[in-house]
Amino acid sequence: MQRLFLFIFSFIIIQTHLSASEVGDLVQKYEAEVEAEIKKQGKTNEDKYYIYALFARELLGLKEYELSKNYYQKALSAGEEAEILDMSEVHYNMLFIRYKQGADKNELKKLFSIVKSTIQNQDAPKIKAGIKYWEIVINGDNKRIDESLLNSYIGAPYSMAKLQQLIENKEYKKALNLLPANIKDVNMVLKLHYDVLNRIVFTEKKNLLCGEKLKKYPRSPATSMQICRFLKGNEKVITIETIQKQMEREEFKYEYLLSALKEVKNEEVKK
Amino acid sequence: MRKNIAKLLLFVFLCLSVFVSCNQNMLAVGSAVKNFVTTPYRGVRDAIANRRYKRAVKKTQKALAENPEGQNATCIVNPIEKVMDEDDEKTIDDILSEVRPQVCSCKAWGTCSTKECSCEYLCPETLAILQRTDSLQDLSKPENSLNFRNDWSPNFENTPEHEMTAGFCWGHASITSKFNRLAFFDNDKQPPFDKNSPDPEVQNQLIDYYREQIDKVLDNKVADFPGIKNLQELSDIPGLEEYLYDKMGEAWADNAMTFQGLATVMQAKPMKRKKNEKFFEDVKAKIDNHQQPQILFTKEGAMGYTHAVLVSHYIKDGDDTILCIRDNNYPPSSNKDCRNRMELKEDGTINYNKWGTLGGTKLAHNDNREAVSQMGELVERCRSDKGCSEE
Repeated sequence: MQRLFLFIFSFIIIQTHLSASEVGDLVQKYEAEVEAEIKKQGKTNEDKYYIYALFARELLGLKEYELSKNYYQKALSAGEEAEILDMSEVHYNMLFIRYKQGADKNELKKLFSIVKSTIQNQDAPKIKAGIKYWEIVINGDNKRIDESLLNSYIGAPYSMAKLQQLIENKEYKKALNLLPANIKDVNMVLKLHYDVLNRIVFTEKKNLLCGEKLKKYPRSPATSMQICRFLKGNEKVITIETIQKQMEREEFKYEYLLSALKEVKNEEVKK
Repeated sequence: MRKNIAKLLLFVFLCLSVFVSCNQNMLAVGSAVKNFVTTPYRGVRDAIANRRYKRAVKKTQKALAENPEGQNATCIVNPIEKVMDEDDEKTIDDILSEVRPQVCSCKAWGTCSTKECSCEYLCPETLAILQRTDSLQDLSKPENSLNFRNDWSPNFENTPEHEMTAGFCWGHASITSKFNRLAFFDNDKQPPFDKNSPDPEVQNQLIDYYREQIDKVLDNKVADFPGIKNLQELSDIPGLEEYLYDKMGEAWADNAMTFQGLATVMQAKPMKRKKNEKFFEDVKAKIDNHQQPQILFTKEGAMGYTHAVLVSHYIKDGDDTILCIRDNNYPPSSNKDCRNRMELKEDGTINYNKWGTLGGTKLAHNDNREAVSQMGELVERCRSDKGCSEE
């Protein structure tokens, strides 16, 4: 009896000890831990569903997408066996994982239709916005972005998508209006949008927000600084082609600015 | 006699089990079929990371109990008498400047070497390893902050009624926290590519190098930034500022666009006193455990208006605790003197002086997970820096 308790005590002590290697790699030995948990608590399919989903959720948080997907799949099998009524988290996160893994549009559409049929509280503003977010992400349908979405919890990615859409449609004034009010304090990406749009919309040249940085980093080859030089009127040295080349080198995400830059050039020629 | 010992052991075992309650064996049975985002399954919200975090808290508290002076421990490198005896005509300032190098700090990331202080104190396997500055407050300074603010946020002068909560606030808070813990800046060290080279290709290579380092930090790994003073400088560099913006958006989506993110603080009605008090206690515990936690909240009556910030530190006003907020909608210079503050009001609700009464408040679901992922990395780095690995 005493031996048994001593064993249990030492087990507890070992369990509470935290080594650097243990915290260093949470994913290592994960599978063993999940199976141990299933043995310990997974008496029914319902138990198994929750345990698998719980671990999958954490693996998702650790960006272990493949492993997380595997556990969500196991959770779904167990959940279906147990006839779990609400598996919306699992379906929603499966959609997220497959999107991150670069799944094709058809697969995402299929997963999304399951999400729409299972997700609860669809009238809640965040859930509503979340559903619309995926509609836009999957279908690339930026026309559905309205004012309420722009001001919602997930307004920032919508705003970026809307900006792109307006610039591609040459609706420069609207795009300019969409930029944040605190433009002087925000990231260079948005300042660049502001500078480019300003050059197109207004006849009078305003000071460039990117100018200060260019002065500070005169040798920088970064796309942002190339665009800034171009806007400053150094078109002879910096051409649209050189900017495009640097964009490719940098994998600059805002390639659509090139079409607006061409517009700047046309405006300059007109003047 | 044997029976009594057995009974005693059984009693102690049961008591101890309560303390290891992060183990699922002790959890209440109640398997109502509910969405377990809002209702934890049998009391468990997170699996391994949260359990490890709780164990880390215990270990940190144990270490503190064993060595309460640990936070301010100092050691003498050389006998001070040596300095004092050398010259009687020294001024106090002279003496102090000579004494200072003779004293070192024997705590996590302290200035002592392993000759004066053991690795156990210099690189503890506790949450203390997360704090590399003398005071957590130091992290809130502009030099330790991103050079840009959250987007689509209000003008500084705007009234709370016009508060906009869009933007990548959660990404901003998460990235800032990661850099504050994992990035090692060293302005005096030469980067692998010449910073002053006139060759654009060399400049591009340098940018590529720093981007790789940034990726490591965002992946919860430690990374060096030779030739860079601090986070403010790094995030100001063209090519890196834009890169960090894109990463901020990705980090935001990773946190906000999973189901957990959507379900975060869906409450628009102010939480009850008990819950608010618990929230304050949890945040306070995080700060006492060397972290500036990420928190999320909504404005009263506006479920969709969610914001994510870091809590810089707390101050006491009598018995009351005031949380000092590091709000990415405002310039980092406003983090001084606890200008952005959350307080528990008499009616039990929380007031944030920039927003008014809050609805739901919560610790971010990624906070514990990130802390435990970073701990092991930091312990290893510290051991290597201090020469503990060679022991």
